[in-house]
Amino acid sequence: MQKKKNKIETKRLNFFYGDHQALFDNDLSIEANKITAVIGPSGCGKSTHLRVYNRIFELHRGQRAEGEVFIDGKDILDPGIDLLDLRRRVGMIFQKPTPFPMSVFDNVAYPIRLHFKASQKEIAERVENALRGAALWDEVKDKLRESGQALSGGQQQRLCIARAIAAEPEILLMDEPTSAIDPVGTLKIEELMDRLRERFTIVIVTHNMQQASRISDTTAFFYKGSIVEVGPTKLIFTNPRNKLTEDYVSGRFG
Amino acid sequence: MTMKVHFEKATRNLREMITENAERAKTAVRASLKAVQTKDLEFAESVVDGDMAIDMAENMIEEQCLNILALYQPVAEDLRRMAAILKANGEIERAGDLASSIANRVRDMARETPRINWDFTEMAELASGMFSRALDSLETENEKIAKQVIDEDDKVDELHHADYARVANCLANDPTASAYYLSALTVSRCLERLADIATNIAEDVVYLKTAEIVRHRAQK
Repeated sequence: MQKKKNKIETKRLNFFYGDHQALFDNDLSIEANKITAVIGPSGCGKSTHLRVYNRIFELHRGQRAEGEVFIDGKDILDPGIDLLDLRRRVGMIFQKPTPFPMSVFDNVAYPIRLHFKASQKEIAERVENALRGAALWDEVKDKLRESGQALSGGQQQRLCIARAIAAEPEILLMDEPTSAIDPVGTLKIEELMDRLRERFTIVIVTHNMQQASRISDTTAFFYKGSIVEVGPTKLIFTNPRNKLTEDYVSGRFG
Repeated sequence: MTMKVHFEKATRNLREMITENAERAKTAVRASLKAVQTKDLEFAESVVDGDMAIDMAENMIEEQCLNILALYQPVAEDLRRMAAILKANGEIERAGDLASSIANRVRDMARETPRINWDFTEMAELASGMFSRALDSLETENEKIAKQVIDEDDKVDELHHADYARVANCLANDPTASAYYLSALTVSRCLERLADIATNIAEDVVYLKTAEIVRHRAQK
């Protein structure tokens, strides 16, 4: 049997919003090229945990993380780490689609121009590849010069996924990526995630239990800032070990 | 605080339905065995007449299970409960059919005057006891009782195998009453299958409580 390869190893991660502690000694291994779903009631710390992986929390004053988060064996909480490079390697998709106020093409070309030295021709190629990778090319190839904000919600979200993968990341963090998207758009994004897992390690925060059970390989259940249970998704939804997990996945609280 | 009032209500209703049908099947099994032992055709008829109610209830229970699965998409123990009930539902209906088969044999047996009267008491008590307790374990979701039921299946199997040899012997010694002995063997087989059904239901209960599939363990 092939040995499991962990892309991310979190050890004793604690997180603080000023004086308020939001995460407590989180230990979590994220397997490479798998989809890990993070579930739990509102305010349980799942988004906070996710936001440590690319240190995006540092954009806000007074927030700090303690502990260790290894990506490919390197602690990304190390102050010496190149943040621009970290955020290229660890892309993020948010709950609300966030296309830049520019054309479809320029949205996707943005990270390419930022991170790589590429000719106009290369940029065009990479944009097309990223849009194809995000299953959006066929729908936008004739309106590349139109505003990204004019697309439908589901298309905007896939545009954001295209923009994220244009940076050639290794990890994609998705924070409730379909909660603002209609069922058809959601289905397209879920199908897309299934394909993306071949190239990327995906961590998704979701409130939608069925979504977690449909798409993820591993599920981690968070409660009050602690990780209660992590395991194969199939087990979490058929036979969770912990009573709290059982109550949450079967909708008895949350 | 629960957000699942509707789901809990639907599940409660389903459990009541299956318990009710289990009671019908238990009554049918008891009456069919009484008919065999007393050769009383009235008992036999009551079993055959009652089977229709068991069949109808099976359909309604299945429908209710599928409704719950479709409307609430239960997971974890809730899901295992639906799986267990859905399967036990079919087993209960089959037990009803077995009771009818046993009752039907009474007519044939009543016509004969065998030299050796068949005594079903031990096997009947074992099998119907297992069946009864398996259904109790389903109703109360009691894994301990379920496991005891599973352990008892071997005894009934042994008794049934012994009946083969007995029937061969009886046919040789008393060939004029062959119809009686062949019917007796059919009843013996029905009882053995009733014990199997009890075992299957008990295994579903173990699955419901532990998520462990214990079926076919003995063959491993």
